[in-house]
Amino acid sequence: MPPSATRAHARPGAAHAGRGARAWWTAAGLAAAGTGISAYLTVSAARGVPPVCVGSACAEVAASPFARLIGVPTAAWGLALYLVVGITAVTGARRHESRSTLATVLFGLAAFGAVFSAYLLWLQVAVLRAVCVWCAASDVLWALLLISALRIARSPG
Amino acid sequence: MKARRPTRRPTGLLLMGVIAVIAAAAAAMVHWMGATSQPSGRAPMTAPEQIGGKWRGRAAAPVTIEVYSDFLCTHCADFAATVEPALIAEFVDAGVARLVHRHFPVLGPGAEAAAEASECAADQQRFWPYHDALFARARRGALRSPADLEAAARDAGLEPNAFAACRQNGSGRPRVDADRSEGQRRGVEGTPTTFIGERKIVGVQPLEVFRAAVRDARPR
Repeated sequence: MPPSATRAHARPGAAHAGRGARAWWTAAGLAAAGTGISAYLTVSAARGVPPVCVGSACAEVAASPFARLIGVPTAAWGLALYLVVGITAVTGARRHESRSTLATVLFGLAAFGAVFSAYLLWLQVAVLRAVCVWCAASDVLWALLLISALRIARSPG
Repeated sequence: MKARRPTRRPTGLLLMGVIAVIAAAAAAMVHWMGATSQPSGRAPMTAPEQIGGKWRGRAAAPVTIEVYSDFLCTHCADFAATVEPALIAEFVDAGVARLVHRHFPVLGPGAEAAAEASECAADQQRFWPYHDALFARARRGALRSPADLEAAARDAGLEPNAFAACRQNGSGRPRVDADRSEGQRRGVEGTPTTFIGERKIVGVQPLEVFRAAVRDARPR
């Protein structure tokens, strides 16, 4: 049987569902990358050791009073948020029937992360004048997560 | 006719976006206030916007003065007694510069122990009083033993049990090592060595040298 015939017998909407799941898995992958970065920064903070970095910027940022939020390393808050985003994205990828609600939740989480991340980037550039590459990578991930969440939310349900 | 799948209504998204932005702004405000406000119940500091740790001065000051120093080094003690107070009065308290202490212990285990002890003081938000107490002792030759580090802690008003526990578990050591490694990478060979902007100033030079470096480093 030629491949085109196989496609002809496919369930209506299956191709669309596949594309939709890919978008959710992409968001989950971005969240996994962010989880890795923030876990490393959290462990560094717990050990009191500056993260491995190009130049002294990471040590400068890690030693600053802005490295904590309510007594907890800022990276640990990031880790928690990335985990919640990741769980939401994986659930969305697996459970088609819950996608409408999860898409809105994912968008809210990504918007929160992106806005707070933008604030942290401003702190590094304008106040500390030291940009940590790990934090910059996380900033990029949040921007990509917001774009990804927006595309998921605006796609047909 | 081809059936169109419904797109999600934008109202829910818009509402969620607004809630997320407000929540992020509130979190940012809590973060900023927590980092820049003075801890309650602590001794007053010299400048209203001074913040904890190994910094003095305004967080957003346009110039950073970094001093690589060793608490047992007599030149460093001279620097701390002469140049540093002048720079603090002229530039740090005026909001032009922030002063950052960096460890570069070169005079053996005693110097390393003093640097680590100062990190324990930083944990109690009392780094600068302890810094001043250590250098005051170094100048009069009263910084020779671990007991002197504890006496300096009393001088600086540190909580003794937390200070002793911190020294015992060695939590300050990684931070001292990190400063020293970074100093080596930046070409520090002796103490005190001061970085102001791009300028590296070795030793206790006339105050005018430091003033000129701060002026050059200020954005025009």
